Amino acid sequence: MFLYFLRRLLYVVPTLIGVTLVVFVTVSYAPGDAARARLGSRATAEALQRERTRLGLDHPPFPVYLESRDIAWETPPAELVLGPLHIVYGPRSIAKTQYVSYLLRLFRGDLGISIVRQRPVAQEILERFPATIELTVSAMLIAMFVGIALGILSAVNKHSILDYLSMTGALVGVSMPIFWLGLVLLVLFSNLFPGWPMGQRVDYLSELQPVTGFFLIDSLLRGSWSDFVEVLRHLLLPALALATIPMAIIARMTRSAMLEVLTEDYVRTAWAKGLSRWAVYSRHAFKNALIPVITIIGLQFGSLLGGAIITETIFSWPGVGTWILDAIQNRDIYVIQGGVILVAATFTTINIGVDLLYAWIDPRIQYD
Amino acid sequence: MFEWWTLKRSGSRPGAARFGVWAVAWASMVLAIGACSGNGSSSVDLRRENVFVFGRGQDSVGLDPAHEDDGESFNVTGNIYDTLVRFKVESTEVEPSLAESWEISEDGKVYTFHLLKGVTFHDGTPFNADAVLFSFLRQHDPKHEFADVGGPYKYWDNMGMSQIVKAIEKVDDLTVRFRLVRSEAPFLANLAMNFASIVSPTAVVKMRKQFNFHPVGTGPFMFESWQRGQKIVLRKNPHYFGGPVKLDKVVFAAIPDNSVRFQAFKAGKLDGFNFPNPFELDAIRSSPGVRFLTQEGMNICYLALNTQKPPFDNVLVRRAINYAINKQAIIDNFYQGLGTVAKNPLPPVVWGYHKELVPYSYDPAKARELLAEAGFPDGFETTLWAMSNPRPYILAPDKVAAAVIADLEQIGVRARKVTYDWPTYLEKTDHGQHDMAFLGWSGDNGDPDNFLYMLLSKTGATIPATNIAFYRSDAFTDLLEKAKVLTDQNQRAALYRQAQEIFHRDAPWVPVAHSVQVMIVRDNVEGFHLHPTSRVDFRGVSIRRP
Repeated sequence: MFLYFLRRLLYVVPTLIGVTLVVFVTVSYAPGDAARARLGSRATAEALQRERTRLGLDHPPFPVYLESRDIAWETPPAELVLGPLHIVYGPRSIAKTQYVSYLLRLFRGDLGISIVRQRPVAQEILERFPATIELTVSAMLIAMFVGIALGILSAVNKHSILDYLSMTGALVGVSMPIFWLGLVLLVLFSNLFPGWPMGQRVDYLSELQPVTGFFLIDSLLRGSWSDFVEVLRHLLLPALALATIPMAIIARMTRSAMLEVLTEDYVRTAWAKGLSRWAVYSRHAFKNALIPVITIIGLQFGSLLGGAIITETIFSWPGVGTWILDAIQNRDIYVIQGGVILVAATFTTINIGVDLLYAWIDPRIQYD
Repeated sequence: MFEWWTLKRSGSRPGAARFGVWAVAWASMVLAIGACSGNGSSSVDLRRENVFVFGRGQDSVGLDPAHEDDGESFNVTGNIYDTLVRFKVESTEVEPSLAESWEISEDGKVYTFHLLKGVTFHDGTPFNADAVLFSFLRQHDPKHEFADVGGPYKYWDNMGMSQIVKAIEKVDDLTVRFRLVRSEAPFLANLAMNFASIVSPTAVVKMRKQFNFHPVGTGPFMFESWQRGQKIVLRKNPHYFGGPVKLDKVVFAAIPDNSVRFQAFKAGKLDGFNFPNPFELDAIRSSPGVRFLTQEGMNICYLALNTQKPPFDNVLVRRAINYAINKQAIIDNFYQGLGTVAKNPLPPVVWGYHKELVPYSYDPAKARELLAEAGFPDGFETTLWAMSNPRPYILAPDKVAAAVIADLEQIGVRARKVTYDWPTYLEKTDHGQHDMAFLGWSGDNGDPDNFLYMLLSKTGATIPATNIAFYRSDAFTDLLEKAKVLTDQNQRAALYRQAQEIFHRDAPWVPVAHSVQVMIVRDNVEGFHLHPTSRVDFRGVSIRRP
């Protein structure tokens, strides 16, 4: 088991390198460039060239690269040209190509700096990711509890009014556009409870300063119960909005998994033994229906941690989703790279976690 | 091992009901948190005494104005720093600020500024000639210790200051002299722009790159805190040289969604906000307690016709396009009343605007005639480029483009729409890859030169071009160069009027619209003025609380 875990962790490294490669190819050959995005519409040709040099964008993107009509790279001192294909050789020349120099820095733990803001990407991740985690974990807690409860209730009371209601609810939940739901929630709550927060993580006038970046924890560290409640109030609506889709998916998945399990022989045996309904549903049925549900939860969790762009925009939530989106619009390469690595790493970590959970839930599953 | 689902395996109540209890528990928790709201809001209102909360669409990028070029950075830095001279309230005329007076030599090449005495930076260090020199030389002198700290000095480059300024000298502790390469009339107005803010040298030396996030100036407000993507808080500078500051604090809250900004304003969370949704304007106007401020913007939206590419190298074709487009319909439908039809490359708020010039009317028949005369009786096929994102001067580029394409179809010109994301769009249009392209400009300093020379001179027509019509008229450019070196504003205005006539005749663009800028504030806000440069200034603002 431990070895399995270790091996899975090792696989993460090539996965992440692959991810950086894909991002780099896409960004290098997409039209538009970072120097232009940095200097804006009024930049002069000389200023643009100077900025390209400063950012290292005047070097070829890869040790093996295609000539490009749109982008002029400085020819490296050691290079082999085969038609449109250029092959850079010699360690110095190779190390200077954009991708290799990025990787070399990455291995030293340097994620680079944001071209737009001139700040270390790692620092921005530390500021942004806690906001995303806080929101996602809250949303997933809501989605899991409500979704699983609804799913089980529906399966147990198949074809009852409750079943129809909750499954219709789930369908509506899956189809509801978040930008609309978010706004409706905001308007509704501000009318029901005057003074209800309109987005952001704390009130505009709050003096709460981030320490860990997790505001629920920060408010407790500050020893202020009213701050804690304040943070919770700010968290509620975005978490609810973000929870609807995963909640609906989890509910539907739980229901169908339960229905399948309930027809199994061992469940009939359990009934025959005269066990209580509770024991049959929870111990015999639900535990066996849990594997697909966990898978779905893991996937949803992973994708939400990648940033919920719409929810973040509506609720002015400074998470990683809008951060990466901004970076893409501004050709902020290192932020894009750092962001995608972060998302990929989170996703793989959660996947590993889910696989380990399988074995814990179902002893028949063994890894070695 | 803790297994929550087995906790009550032999409970007497049916399991299903137990799950139901959870749902009820969740719902009641939601309500419980909701119920806490009553106390929370009242304490918030008490704290709002003399604090202005301003809602805006984006966070700032950085707070060292020499490094930045986005409006949301300048909106904050304008309240932290001062410049030697500044724009008057609601106009682009220049008045004294950190310099109490100045002299300009006969030949217009030497500017001597006399600085205010006794002004201190927020960090307590004195403002003097050394601070002025430091603030400018770090941008100008490539050998300066801070020439390469914190990224490029964007605006210094963009305004061509390196080519204008020869030397900056300290005469004595309170006198500074700028020597220019040539006489340059807009120079003084340039010094009122945000990039020319005077920074505390002590703070820059101490903070280096971090200065961009811990700004220190002489302005009415001091930097207090910045939570990225959320808010920037400024507090009042009790020692401000320009007199007492009435607000205790200003909070710049980043609220990206336009509708949410309005909702937050309605809920009493904000004292003012900008960039409302056009479709919500009526609802905003009719809300109670609202002051709706508008000002004709210092901007232009235009359709550039690439004069280097046939058939747009033919002036008859360019005029035909000018006659073919129904600009009034575009303003009515896609500017929601927040725009005016353009006839000149200059907006009316800029001096030198040619009022009497008779614009091209909307006349498709005349356009068809001109096309036939040019040798295109059946029209032609071409491309029309539009950016994918709204800009301050064009709120709905895709819709405006569709309307123009429909107008052109009326005269037989079949245009295909081409669109790219913003950085790509700029790159491709400044390389002249388009036939016709939408673009616009927001003025920086209120000088006509800032529009005409940048956007239409021969100098601007070299790749990467700022003149994307690639309009290369000697007569037009000569007039601009003459006007640039004169210091008398009336003489300059006369030359710019002539230039606008030549522009009208040659028709390198279809000038489309000038957009109107909008700001919404509460009716208890006093002393708030919109400025043509779109900057938000809290210097004289106060809030009347009952």
